[in-house]
Amino acid sequence: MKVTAPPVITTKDQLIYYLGEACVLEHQFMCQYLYAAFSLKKAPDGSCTAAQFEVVRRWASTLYMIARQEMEHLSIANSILTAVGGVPVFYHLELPTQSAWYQSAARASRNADSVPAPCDMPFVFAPFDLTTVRRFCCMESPGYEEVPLPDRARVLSWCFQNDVGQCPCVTAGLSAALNVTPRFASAEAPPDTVEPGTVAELYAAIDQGLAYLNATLGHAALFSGHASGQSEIPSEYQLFLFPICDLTSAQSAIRMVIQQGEGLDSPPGSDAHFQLFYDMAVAYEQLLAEDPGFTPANPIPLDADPYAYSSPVTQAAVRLWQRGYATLLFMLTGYYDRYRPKEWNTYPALTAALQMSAIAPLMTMFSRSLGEVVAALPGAPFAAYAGVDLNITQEQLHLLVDPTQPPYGDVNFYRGRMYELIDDLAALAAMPGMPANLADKVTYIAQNMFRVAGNIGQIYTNGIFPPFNPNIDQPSCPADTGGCE
Amino acid sequence: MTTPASLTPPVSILTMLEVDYEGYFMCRLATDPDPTNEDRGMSGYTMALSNEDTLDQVIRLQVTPAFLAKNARPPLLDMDAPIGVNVTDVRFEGQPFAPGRAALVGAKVYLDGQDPPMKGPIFDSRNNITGSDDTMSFVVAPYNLRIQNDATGVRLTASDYLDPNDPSVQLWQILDPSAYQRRLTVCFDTNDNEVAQATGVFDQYGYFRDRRRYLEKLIADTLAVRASAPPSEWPALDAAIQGYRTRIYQLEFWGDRVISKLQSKCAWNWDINGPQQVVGDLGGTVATSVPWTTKFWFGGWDGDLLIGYMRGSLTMPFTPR
Repeated sequence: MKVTAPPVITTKDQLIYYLGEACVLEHQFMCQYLYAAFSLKKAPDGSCTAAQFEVVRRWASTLYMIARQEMEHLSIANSILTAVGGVPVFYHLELPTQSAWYQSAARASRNADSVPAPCDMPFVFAPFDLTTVRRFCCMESPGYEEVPLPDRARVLSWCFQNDVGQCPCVTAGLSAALNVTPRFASAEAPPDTVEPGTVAELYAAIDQGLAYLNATLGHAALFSGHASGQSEIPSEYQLFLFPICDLTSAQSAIRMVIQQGEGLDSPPGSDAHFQLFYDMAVAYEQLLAEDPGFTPANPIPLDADPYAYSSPVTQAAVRLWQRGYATLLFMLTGYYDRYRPKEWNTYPALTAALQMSAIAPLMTMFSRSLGEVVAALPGAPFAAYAGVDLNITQEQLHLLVDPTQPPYGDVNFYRGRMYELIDDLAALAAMPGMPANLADKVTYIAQNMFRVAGNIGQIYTNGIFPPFNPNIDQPSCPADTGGCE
Repeated sequence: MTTPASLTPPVSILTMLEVDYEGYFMCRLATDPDPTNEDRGMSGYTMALSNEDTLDQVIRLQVTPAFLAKNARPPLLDMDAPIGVNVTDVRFEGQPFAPGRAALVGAKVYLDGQDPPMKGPIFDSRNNITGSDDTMSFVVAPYNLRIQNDATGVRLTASDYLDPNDPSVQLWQILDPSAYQRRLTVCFDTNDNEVAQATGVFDQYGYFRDRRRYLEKLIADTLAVRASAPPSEWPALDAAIQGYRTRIYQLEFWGDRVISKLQSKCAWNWDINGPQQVVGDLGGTVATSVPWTTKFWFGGWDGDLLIGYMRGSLTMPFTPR
């Protein structure tokens, strides 16, 4: 790893603290990417020709892939966390915020004197536009010295302050977010530990801290948690999740995160998040130069108050989406906290039920599906269309920070929340003012959630139905010899 | 005195008529990680291009010329891959059966019905909710088979119900998957020899390398046309070029996920539990009160052209004249 950080993590408490920081940061990246992705157009229109739409489609594919990989990073940070005896962190603090890791003052000292001060990089819920894409590029950027030479001029103009100390390329219209008090993601940082900077440096510190603690405490004392890890996630979805149980697996996971994000330690030309966002922004600039009217996304609000939409349908949909999102976070928290490989799929198979229900079905068939419905509903008084609410309420936060609380071991806690969602989805579909095409989509989501709730009960009681168990290969078909015996 | 059961003359062994069919099908399928009702295709490897119909998930064993004109991407119409699943042979006790052949060879095979909200039969998974993408375990729902020869007037129909007590029940409503296990895939293979022989594609990597080169050539050709075309034609040409680029992007972005499907197959095999009917003369009598056996596979999936191959047979108790 080219980025270096002082080995300031010398205790397990510090390690757990900074792994929590990593979880929150990865979660916040993912939220911002999803919010923007939901705004992308899904068909050509007057400000997006059929040819331009094909470019938008490719951007959507890339953006959703990056969001998936942020989920993968969140999973990895949590797996390391639980492996060393911490509790999973599936919460984040409210956006907009100015993360201390992305504060100009914290990062300025990393660069040579000839390099201007970096921009403050606020975390906000913003629709997909050129400013947003550049900001995403800067958020994923490695330190200036690690930026590929051909990209440096643009990175300098986007991610660093201009002659008058401003950052118009990445912060236009974000003044409200910039006024938020900078803070660490979690509580106060422990004294004398890692100085805020880029995320690559955070991971470098964790990497070195793991090595230091493994050498000084020993493997057994360091990895005193449980061998958390999900069943294999197919690499065909650009995800690679594996159990983390020792120094080698933990450091491998960190290396993968850094390669996928900043592109550090990768072969030349690698498609890291930084490079993908960079290329996206450059292409976007070119399309705008050819056609200034080109608009790839629908206007959704910038950090709107999610409960101030004037349309009752929109309000109901946004609130419902948020409750579903919280349910997903509860399920992931319960799964990561309680997963034990040996007991995974035997009665009571709670973690198998949570894994099989949360990871694909709830993410894709609830969060993504209803998110796109919300983004097609009226967004007055803020914008033409609405945006989802990816913040967490205080009540939900209270439950998320402590997975030892009783509800997490109760299958009916999760099922109860699912059945509430189903009732609310049915009510939403029937609301006056709900467009018919969107009502059909909501009904489809309700059907799926009905079955997911049922699956939770089935798996809890009986284990995963064998033909659906990803750890059991399907039987091979009888060989066809083509006439040859 | 009654005859002991063990000395009761055995019931005569049923003799079977087998109807074989195969051919290419089309399916405008949304793929994970898109939701299964995604109609445009934004994050999976399949998509509806701007000038095409939206993705609707429907398994089409037959297509109309109008559908093909709108949805066949180049080079499909120049390939030896005619869309249509048709009867290829009829056998009695394993041997060619001339009267049955005369009645049915060339007949078209259809899957009828709908799986609401989809407008036809689908591979029902709902993203790992009712089936499993990971283990390729799906139900074809609904299952209403129709084999029809318009030339001879012969028609076979057979329907299978997920829940024979309530034919209207849909898969998402059945909470216990063991209740429909009989309808799930019985096996799954990659690098399958039978699929390769059926489609004539033995080098799946080369097949898609050729596809990428072909698409690059289409881009170059279209750019050349655009250079001398009036501006009014540019939007359509630009859309075509960007559509080709998206297809190349998908092949490169997803790589082996797309390539490996070309020699994969999923197979099904079960006894039909619903109504069965024969119209017309097959050269004997088909028993419609005894369950017929349906056995088929779908495979050879080309996720760029949205086509695949199906091969199967319908086995029916039969007494020749």
